[in-house]
Amino acid sequence: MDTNPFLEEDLHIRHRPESCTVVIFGATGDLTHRKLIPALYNLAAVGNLPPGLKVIGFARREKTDEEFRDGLEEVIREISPTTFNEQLWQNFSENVFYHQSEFQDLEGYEGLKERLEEIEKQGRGIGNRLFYVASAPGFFDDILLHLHDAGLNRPGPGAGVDAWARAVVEKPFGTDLKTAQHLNRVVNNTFQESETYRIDHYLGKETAQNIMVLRFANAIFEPLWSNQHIEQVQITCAENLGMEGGRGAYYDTAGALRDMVQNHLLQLLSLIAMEPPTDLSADGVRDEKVKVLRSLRPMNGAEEVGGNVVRAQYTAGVVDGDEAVAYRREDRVNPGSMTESYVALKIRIDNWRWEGVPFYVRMGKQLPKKATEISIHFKQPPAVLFNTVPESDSENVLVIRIQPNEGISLRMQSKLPGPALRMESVKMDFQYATSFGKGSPEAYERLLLDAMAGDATLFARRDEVENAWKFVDAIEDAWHKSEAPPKMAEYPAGSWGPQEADELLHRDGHRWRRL
Amino acid sequence: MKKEADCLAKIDTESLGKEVPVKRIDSELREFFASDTGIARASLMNLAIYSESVDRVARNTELIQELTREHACRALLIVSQPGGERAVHSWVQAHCNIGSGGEKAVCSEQVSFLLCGSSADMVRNIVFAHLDADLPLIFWWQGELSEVFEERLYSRIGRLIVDSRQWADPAAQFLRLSMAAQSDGAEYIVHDLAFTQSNQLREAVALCFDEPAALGEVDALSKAEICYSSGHRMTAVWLTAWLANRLNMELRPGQSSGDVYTFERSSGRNEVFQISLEEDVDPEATDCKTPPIVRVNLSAGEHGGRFDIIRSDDGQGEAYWSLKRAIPGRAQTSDLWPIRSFGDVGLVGEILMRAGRNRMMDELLPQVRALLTL
Repeated sequence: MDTNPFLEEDLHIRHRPESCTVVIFGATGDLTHRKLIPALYNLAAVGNLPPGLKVIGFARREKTDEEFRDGLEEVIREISPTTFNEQLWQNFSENVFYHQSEFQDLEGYEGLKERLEEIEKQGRGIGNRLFYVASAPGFFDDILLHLHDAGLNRPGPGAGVDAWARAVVEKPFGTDLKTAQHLNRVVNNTFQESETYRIDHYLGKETAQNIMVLRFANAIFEPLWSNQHIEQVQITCAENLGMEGGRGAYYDTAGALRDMVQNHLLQLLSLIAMEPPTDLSADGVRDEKVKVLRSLRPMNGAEEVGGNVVRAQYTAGVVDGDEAVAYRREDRVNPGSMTESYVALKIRIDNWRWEGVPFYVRMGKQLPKKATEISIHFKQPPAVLFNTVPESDSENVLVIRIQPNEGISLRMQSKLPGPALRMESVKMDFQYATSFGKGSPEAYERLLLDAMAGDATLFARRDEVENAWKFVDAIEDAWHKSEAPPKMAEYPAGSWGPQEADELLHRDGHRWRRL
Repeated sequence: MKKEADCLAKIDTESLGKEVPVKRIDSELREFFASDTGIARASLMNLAIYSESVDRVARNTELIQELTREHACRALLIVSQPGGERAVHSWVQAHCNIGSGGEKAVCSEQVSFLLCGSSADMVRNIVFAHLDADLPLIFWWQGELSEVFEERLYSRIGRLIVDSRQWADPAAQFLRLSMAAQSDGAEYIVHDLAFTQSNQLREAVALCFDEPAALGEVDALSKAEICYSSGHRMTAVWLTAWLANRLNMELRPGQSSGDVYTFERSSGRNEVFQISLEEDVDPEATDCKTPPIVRVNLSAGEHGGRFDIIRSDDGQGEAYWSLKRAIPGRAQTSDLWPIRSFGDVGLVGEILMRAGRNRMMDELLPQVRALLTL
């Protein structure tokens, strides 16, 4: 018998992946402790993990299996005190192991291979392997090359013809086009593109996934979804944090454009702007997303960048009632840093659908609140009927809130009660939490399951990553390599960004949506 | 007049909130939601609970309260008393929970009706006039299907939930459902809580055979034992029908009795497959703690593989399916599979969460009816 006759399509809410061994590189890091292992444990707790799944943590520190498990347990107890269950943890952690090695040491990978085979032999012998590269980015090359050299880029010995070996690679996927292309070559020398999963946790968020449903499962939106009816689109990612927890060391080498826009925000933009895919396969969706990235109008030279992009750093201020120091005075930040903590862009998409529609994208640290959202601003209706000049902020706006308070709202005009014909904006609001009575699942849970199940729809493909870097590199070059670079603006911590970002929109007769 | 008073006197109205005339229901609800800015009304569906038992009023209000924590809806509780003088009483109340954002309490309203001398017309004209427009109607029919269950009523329903565990004669009731399903106005999807209760167990059985070595044993399977708790025989019958369906087997009625069913396999190494049902009587079991199915064993003869799915507790109130696979020539493997709630709220919640056409139950219904007639 080739297929399991007891599996029912209707019974499973999603396709259950086959059992596998997950090897996490960077196993002692924060991501593993706070996101990856809790996500796997939560999946086990609701019965969504394939049975017999094993986890091997790979890192440099000396640890026994027991010490590794104890450390993980401590964190899970802390972050999930109400859902932690002794027996379940016991059952889950028995399948968690630790392998100590330097990332550059080939022998360590050969040892890992032996360990993997031993664990697979004790277990179900399926031989599927998922390598999760969650280490510091500087080690990505070493890890991938050594996986190749140790012969770990294929399923375990004796595995069936359908067995697989896959790699999940965390961000940042390169620091520019050149490094991304290099990393892509290294990854694809080790794993086929179809077995490579570049993770972007924004795509695992329920509201990001809902963008396609909203657009393509509702007949009322798609006919309006073009330059015929849409005036402008805004994508905002606001954070009310600075460089806490030593984050300045990494951030100062990246900046807002590389850290958030190149990956998360351009992915959201692609979902908003893409054409309907021919099907919902991974490549069907990604083919359409990459077309959008290819259509982004490039910005050539400092002058063009200066006219369309604003970069800024925060100065001292007050955020959430607390004093905040200036960016350049943050821990582990170069006092003469030219890294932006805020960026605002006016992006043009050169295709039929979006000709003439500006996409304004902004991301900033130390803003007044944490919020990520997309707003679609529709054109004003003709004013002839009501004989009034449309007031600003009276256009229809469809808002997709990615986080927090995930949901969708639509602003429209309504008549104020009374004898006079007076109009006021009203809002129809849909909130995930109040409508469905429960919060959205963690993005990592969904993405891990997808990687195990071989569904790459929510992962970035090689050409997506490279096209996004190509667009971003032109801006970075204008900032850091031109003779007369656009200036670095300033904004007080706790404000909504620099004046220059407001002017970027004012020039087009627009203004940032008030969040 | 006296009969009407008798009808009202039979039920405990304390849990139903504020009594209002039927024509004031909407205005009372509007006033309630306008009175407090700290609350938000939420509704994704109409959920009607219909019962002809006067004893279930308080319990049904509790069920609604629990269900609305995860499934915002307009809840309609219908206490129906067929026969006698016609009269209607109604009550309104709201169930509020703090939303996950923590800012506002999210409220679902409950409108309760006592229908004295009830008929399908009364349900349709009075109760259905208070549905939240454009939202689907999920109708949970508790107990036996009575005369009230007829076309004028079920033509409005999107999803019908019944519970064959409560039926004295499931064969007759399923026949009635099947006939209703063939009528012109019936477009609803039926769910039997006894079948929904088997969802997790069916998943667990599928999990047992997920790995290649176990899959190799499927053709050799020849026997299944299903041990069920008292009151849950219908779930065991659904499971029997499901196993037969999945293994492509045909019932041999002449060789089957009430507790042991013999099937013929059209494929596989064993032509005959026997499924036996056994009732587990636990004197300390209570309704909410009793697992409907205690264990399922599947085996491939004396020298073949054996697969056990046994319910176990961790002593902290959590229950699991323990899956054990013993395959000749291989080390025994086992897994734990967490059990979701099997109370009524959990089961209805599962139906609401999954939605879908429930095709498998439709497919199994003829087999279940055949098993019930033995």
